[in-house]
Amino acid sequence: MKKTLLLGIAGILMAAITITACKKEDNNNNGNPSGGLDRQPMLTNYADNYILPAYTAMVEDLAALKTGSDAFVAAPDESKLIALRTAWQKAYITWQKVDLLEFGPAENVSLRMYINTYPVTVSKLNSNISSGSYDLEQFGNKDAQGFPAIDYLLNGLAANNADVVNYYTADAQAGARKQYLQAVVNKMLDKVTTVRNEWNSYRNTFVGATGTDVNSGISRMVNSYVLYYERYFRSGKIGLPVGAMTGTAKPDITEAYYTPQLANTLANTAMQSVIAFYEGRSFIGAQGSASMKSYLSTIGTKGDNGELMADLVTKELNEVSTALAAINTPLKDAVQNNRTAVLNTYEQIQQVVPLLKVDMVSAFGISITYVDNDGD
Amino acid sequence: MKNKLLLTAGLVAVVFASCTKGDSSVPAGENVKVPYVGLNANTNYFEIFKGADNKTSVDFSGQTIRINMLKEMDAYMKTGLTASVSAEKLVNMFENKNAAFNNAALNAATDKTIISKTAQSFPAVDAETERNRFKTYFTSLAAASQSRSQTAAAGQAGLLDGKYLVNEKGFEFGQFVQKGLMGAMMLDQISNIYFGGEKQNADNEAIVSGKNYTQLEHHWDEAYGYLTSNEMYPKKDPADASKWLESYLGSYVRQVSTSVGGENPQDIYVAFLKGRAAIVNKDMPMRDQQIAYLRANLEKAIAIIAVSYLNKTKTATTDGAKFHSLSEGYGFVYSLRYGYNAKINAAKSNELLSILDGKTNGFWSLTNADIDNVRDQIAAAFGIDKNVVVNH
Repeated sequence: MKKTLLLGIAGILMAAITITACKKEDNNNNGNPSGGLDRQPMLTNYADNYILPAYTAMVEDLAALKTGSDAFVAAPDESKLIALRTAWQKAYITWQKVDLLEFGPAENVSLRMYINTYPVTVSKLNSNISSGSYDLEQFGNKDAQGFPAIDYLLNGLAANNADVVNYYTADAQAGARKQYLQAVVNKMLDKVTTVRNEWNSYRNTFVGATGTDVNSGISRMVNSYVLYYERYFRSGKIGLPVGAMTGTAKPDITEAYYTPQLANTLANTAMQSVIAFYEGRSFIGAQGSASMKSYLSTIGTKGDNGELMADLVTKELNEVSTALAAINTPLKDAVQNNRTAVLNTYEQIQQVVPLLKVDMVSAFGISITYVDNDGD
Repeated sequence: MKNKLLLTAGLVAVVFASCTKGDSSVPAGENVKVPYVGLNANTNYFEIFKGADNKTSVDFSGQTIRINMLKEMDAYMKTGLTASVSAEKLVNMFENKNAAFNNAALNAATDKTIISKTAQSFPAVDAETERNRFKTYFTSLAAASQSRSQTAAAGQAGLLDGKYLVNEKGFEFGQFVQKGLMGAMMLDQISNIYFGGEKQNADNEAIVSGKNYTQLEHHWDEAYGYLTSNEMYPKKDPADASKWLESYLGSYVRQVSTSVGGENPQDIYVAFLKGRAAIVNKDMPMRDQQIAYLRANLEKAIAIIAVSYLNKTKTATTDGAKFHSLSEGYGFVYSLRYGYNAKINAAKSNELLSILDGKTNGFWSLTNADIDNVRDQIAAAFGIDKNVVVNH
């Protein structure tokens, strides 16, 4: 009897092994440690309360920029130059709230590349103006357009307003320069309008992709967010200009180089956007509902000291924000003259990277998909 | 007692039956030498197929040698970042002459060359065109290496991001060669040569003199040898669980999965196992099913990878990363012509390549619309998602 039982058990075991062996391997789908947590409200909140309003605001600001540049080009003078600069600054600040959304329709048109590749390559821009033959769609022209090109065209040509206006009136290239300014502005408006329109239909795709695979809404959004934080915020705005890896400051690669004080405003706005987005706030800053933070909090991941990871991220992001805001000389000067403060800020920015890229991403059951250089 | 045993056996039989997919051409219960149901992602390819001497009957050393030749070529091409590269030496490696390799065993394998296995299934004139294409790449790479101290720009050869050597049009020839040979050699050899009529009509009765396999069994293993050199596929590095041990075609097929619209590599592997088992079992319908599956899905994997690299081109964050992705994608678009009854044949593939390489300043003159044009045509031909991105 005992023997029979044993044999029976062996048989069942064998059967179980067989079942296991024939189960289709599913190695490529990440396990979903957060099963049972509904991701749809979070995706809905991001789409409807942040992303769609953000693109609408961006289109509005660029339309205003176009109005300003059309007016300036029609009859260039100092007051129209000042008005145009104001419109440009407002749009550039809004861009800091949009830049972290480079996925889906934005990614599909390489939006960031056309809007904000800096530093601008002045020689290329000038050669485009003098030749009059250029295609701003071409990859080779990415550093001769966008906000940085306008920065140069409005702020980099001369030290005082009258001399700048002169480049659009008396200068031999005045006509070509006016055309170029308009072409750059039109291209930006065109690109963002395309993305805004595509989001109208992509919205449902995004909100409906509730899984955790590489094409899910959460994977795309979080990858875009973490990539932005790491590469465009940390390295682009701070790390590369201060030379965190090289020990040598490169002030000429700061954002808004020809409008020094604006670089700080842009960086601070970007940081506020990083925090607001994490917390699921609306585009205008209203308290959020379902967010990366609340989702992480529900999962309950804890840091080494037992603190909720969701809260730890907020705490550390706020510390970055404080440190960054305390840098009160223009970034292009601070990276040279106030290196300790900038490097310390960089260090604080860097400390959040693993929290987002490792802890949060693995808690969400997704993976980082944006390795550019695959080492072959 | 007897009853219970029978019951248990019955249970096991039911379980076995329930997991065959119903695609076996051998009636259930038939006594086959290698039962298909036992083949799975953990099966050891070497151990399951044994000769009468009870030793593995699997041997594909010639394929591994060619893959190792390509590895040396690759390593040599990469020296162009810091030194002058000789086109002549690359041709020597391609043709295995003048002791071009550091590894003496490769030089000694005098009957093995990459060139003879490049576009081998093509008509002779076309094969020569393709072989010359690679030789032109060698010349262009050598020329670009002369500008290694420059930063590349439109109209200027040199380095991008300090680590990619490109010509004045942004072409990274090392990638054209490497990705191109995944199609011209590996895919062509598997899908067209070894799965082709000539190799598959080989004798499957007699044991090859001095060996422990039939000629047909050997041909199947040689096809497998172009996908991987290992006893299973895909294989993790035992020393580092984050790494895999495939190179070239096998490493890219591994990155594809059902979640990106392709097949999981484990299923590709099981098809290789089943096809080999079918040959042992003299079950040709089963073998043919596996051939059809592998031909279709290896080709599709390359299409998915090509589309992925084109998408990565659009999102790359530096010129170097951008043109590196594009050069990889270019190589895979080229490779598509080597599918069996290729969905993107040579003429179509050339047409797509000329969209990418035909502008005045090459890659520098391209726009997203150009990339989308190529990408969308490939995606449509294969019915895959045009936005697909594979995590490489």
